[in-house]
Amino acid sequence: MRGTANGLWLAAVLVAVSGWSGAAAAPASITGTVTFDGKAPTLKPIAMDAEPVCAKKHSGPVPNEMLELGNGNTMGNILVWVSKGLPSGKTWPAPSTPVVIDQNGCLYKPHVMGIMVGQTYKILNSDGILHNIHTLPKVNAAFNKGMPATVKEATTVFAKPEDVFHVKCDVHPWMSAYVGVFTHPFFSVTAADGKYTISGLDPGTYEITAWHERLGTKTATVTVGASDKKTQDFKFAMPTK
Amino acid sequence: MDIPYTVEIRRDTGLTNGKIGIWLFLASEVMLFGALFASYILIRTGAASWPRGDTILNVPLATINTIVLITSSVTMVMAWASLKRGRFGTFRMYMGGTILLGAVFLVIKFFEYSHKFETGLFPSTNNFLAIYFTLTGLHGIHVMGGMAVNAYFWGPGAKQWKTNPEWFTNRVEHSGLFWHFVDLVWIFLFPTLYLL
Amino acid sequence: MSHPDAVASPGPSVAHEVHHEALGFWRRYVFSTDHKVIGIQYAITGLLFLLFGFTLMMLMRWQLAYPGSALPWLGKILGDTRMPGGTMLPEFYNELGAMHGTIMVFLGVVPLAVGGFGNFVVPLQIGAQDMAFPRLNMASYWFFFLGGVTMLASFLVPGGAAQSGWTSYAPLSVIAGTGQTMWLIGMIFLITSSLLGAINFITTIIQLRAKGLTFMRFPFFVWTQFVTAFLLLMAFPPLEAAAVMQLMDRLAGTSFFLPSGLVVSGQVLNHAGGGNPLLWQHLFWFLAHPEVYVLILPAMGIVAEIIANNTRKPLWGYRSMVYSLVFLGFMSFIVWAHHMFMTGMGTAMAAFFQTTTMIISIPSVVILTALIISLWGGSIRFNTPMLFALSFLPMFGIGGLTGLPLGLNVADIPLHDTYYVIAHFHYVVAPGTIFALFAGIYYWYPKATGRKMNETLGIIHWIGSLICMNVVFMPMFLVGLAGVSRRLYDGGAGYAFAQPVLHLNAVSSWGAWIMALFQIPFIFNFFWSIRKGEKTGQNPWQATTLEWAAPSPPPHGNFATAPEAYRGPYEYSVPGAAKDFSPQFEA
Repeated sequence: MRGTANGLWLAAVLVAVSGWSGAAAAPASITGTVTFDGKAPTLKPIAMDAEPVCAKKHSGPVPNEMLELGNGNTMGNILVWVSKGLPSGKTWPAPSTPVVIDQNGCLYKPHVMGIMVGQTYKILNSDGILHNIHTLPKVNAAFNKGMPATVKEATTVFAKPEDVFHVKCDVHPWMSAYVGVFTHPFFSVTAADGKYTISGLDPGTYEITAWHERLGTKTATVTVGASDKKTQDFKFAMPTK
Repeated sequence: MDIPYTVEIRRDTGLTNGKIGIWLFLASEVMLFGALFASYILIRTGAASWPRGDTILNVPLATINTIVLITSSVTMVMAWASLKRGRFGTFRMYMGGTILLGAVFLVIKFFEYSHKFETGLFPSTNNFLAIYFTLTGLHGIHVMGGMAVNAYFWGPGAKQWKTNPEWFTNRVEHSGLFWHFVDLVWIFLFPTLYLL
Repeated sequence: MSHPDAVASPGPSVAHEVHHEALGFWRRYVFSTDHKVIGIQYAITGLLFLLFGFTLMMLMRWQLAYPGSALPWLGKILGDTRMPGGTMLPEFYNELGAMHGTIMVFLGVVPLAVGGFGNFVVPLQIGAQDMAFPRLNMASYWFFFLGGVTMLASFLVPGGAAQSGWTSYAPLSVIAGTGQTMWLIGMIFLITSSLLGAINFITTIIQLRAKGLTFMRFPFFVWTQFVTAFLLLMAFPPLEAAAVMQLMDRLAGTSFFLPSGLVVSGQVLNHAGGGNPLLWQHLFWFLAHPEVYVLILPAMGIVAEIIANNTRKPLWGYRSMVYSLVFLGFMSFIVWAHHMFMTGMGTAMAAFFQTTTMIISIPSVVILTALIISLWGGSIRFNTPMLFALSFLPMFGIGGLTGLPLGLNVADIPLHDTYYVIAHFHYVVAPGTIFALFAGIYYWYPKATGRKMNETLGIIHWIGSLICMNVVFMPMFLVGLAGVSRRLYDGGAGYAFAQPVLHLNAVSSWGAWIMALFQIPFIFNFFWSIRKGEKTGQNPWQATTLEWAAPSPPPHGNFATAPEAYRGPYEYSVPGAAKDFSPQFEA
């Protein structure tokens, strides 16, 4: 009888311990939906008349990338990231998979992206015509590369973290993209459905920032415990005069 | 080989080669500084506002510099005249004086420039300072060039007085013409930049 | 009909350089103060730069003929920053364009025409022992050399060579990469070289001419070099001032040429502003217009010599030609803004410059007409120099006439900065000046070497070059009239209006590449004839001017005794004379 009692006691301790360490390892996540508040303006489609070859790649009018809206005015192309609350001194390794940007249909795909310091930035030219990708950072070294039709791929790397900066094409003035460089992997870009997910967070209190290329940034503070799945929505609206 | 008319004049032109050469050079220098003055006029007339020279620049120092340069032109002529009269020692004295006065000019300019930089006034600050530094800087380089040539004639070049005094005298005269030109440019620069 | 080397004439004996033969190799052939050595140095360096500039253009013409297509083997040599995968990047195309112009004008044609021909021939033609300032002459060459090295080195800096056109217009040139700084420094060296050279030429011509050689007895070539020297002397310094100001803008952050509020790549430039891009244009064109006369005048001089010699007649209208030349020199300083008609100048300014531009065409026409009339009734000898000199006449005619609409404000509107302009100025300078320079090489080669160049190879060089020049440049008039702009990386391929004329780009390109092949007989001939050419005496062309009184090649000091001029420069077929030519130097 005494052996069974010991075994039960041991089992209880083991269960408690396993549950406890599991609680410490269980990452939290923050998700949310970004929507546009109010009546969305209609923006002019992108005009590609200057380069007929580009215009031919599209069967209909090319929607303006500045405002990508889904059902119920959900907003795509919003970059969301953790701006405060991460432990200082902690480093996260850059993934070996590259972030890919494609010059496709004379547009940058994707339009908005995040990348980690030291992660490979792979630039594709699927269009078979001359593009000239020109990054315009203020902290990192600017990068300017002509990619004629025969050059289908180029790579670069960003050495320092930096707030979102603009990328343009020196040949096609309507082409536009935005990049944010981070030391951590806690960022996400919304698709047209407006949804973002930032996962793998340790318990703590974080400031989350949502960024739009014209409407500015919105921040919110979220506290997560172990294995928490918190929701934080954002709303953008036209600036009031 | 002996190139003719290096020392003796050619009768139908009345000139030596060097005399023509230095005047041609001065003609080109007139075009150089003329272009800069013309640019000054164009920039100033196109500017929304233009400071008066005396509000930014040091007029007293520049006045001293003007007197310094004019005096140095006088000593330069005296140096040449001494050679014409066969007085080598006197030449040495006057030429030395010319070089010294040139150095004084440059030292004063150095103080002017340093003061500007210390108070945060640089060529990049505005167009007035840009044209001021460019014009006086180029002029200063010409002063240095003239001083270098004069120093040569005062020092190592003076040997030629023994072997070919006439040629030496002519060369000093030509250097003097250059020096007078440098002085003349300053006489235009001073009122244009400092007083207007 | 050769004459004894020593010219028997009264006159002061020329003091020989006693120590000349004792000088080592370096002082005799590299750091020489002898105008003939310096002239040959300038000529060979100039010819090498012409070849290099030609090569740059041949590369550009690939991109223009077949835009976007690759040359993989070349891509491997030039690397990813210029031709990734063998396809030319637009920035590299711009480098090629800017440096082709710069090299051809400042490192090729002028050094050959003025530094080469001027230095070698002028002292001989005026009966002098050397230039007035031999050491200054040597310094001029080495400044030119330094400028050339700087320009070439600029291809190797990060960002490449200058790529804002040979005209380096602000503000683009001010924000451009390091190569532009090297262009500016290179120009300052070249300008210094030209200024020193100009001083030398003018002094030499005035002071060292032989006894009896009055101004109106000068060979026309000497007159052209005289006026050219004045153009260089007075027109270059404003460009030097401008180069200093652009260097200040680039290196010291000034805003001489930068207007306020300039936006670069979407960002406002951090500069004081208040500058004027037009100031650069005025200062640049104040030089660059006289510069084009620097390019053509020596050529006209060479053609005049060769025509007189090979028609066995005096030049028709020598006096008018000289007066026109001097008038042209003065006028060339007051036409410059015809390069700037599209900058928004008012009608008064435009009227002024149109008028002066139309007036300046008159002296050119006088000179060309005089040269053509000089052929009438002549006993024409069709040797290689004469073939090149003769073809210069219609080629320069086409170039000059096509310039007329460009000089008129309204007609310039559709033509400005199109291929029409490129065709116009190339006609004047390529089958114009360069043909005259070729003629001069074939003509004076015997004087410099004691041997003639091969005549057959010369004719092949001539006919191939003449046909190819027209194949290259005639279509460009059509391309320009269709509206295709110059300096386009794809030669207009991206524009709908250009489609009907695009095929002409390939025509021009093939013309250029085939023209390169026709230079091979010339290059071969040039070097082969030094040892194997037909030996000649002192005056193989039976010419009248003073250089033919010296031995071939002339020794240091040129003439055993100083020659004297007894008559005008072109006393050919004088009635009653024993020979069909009466040299200036024969009593």
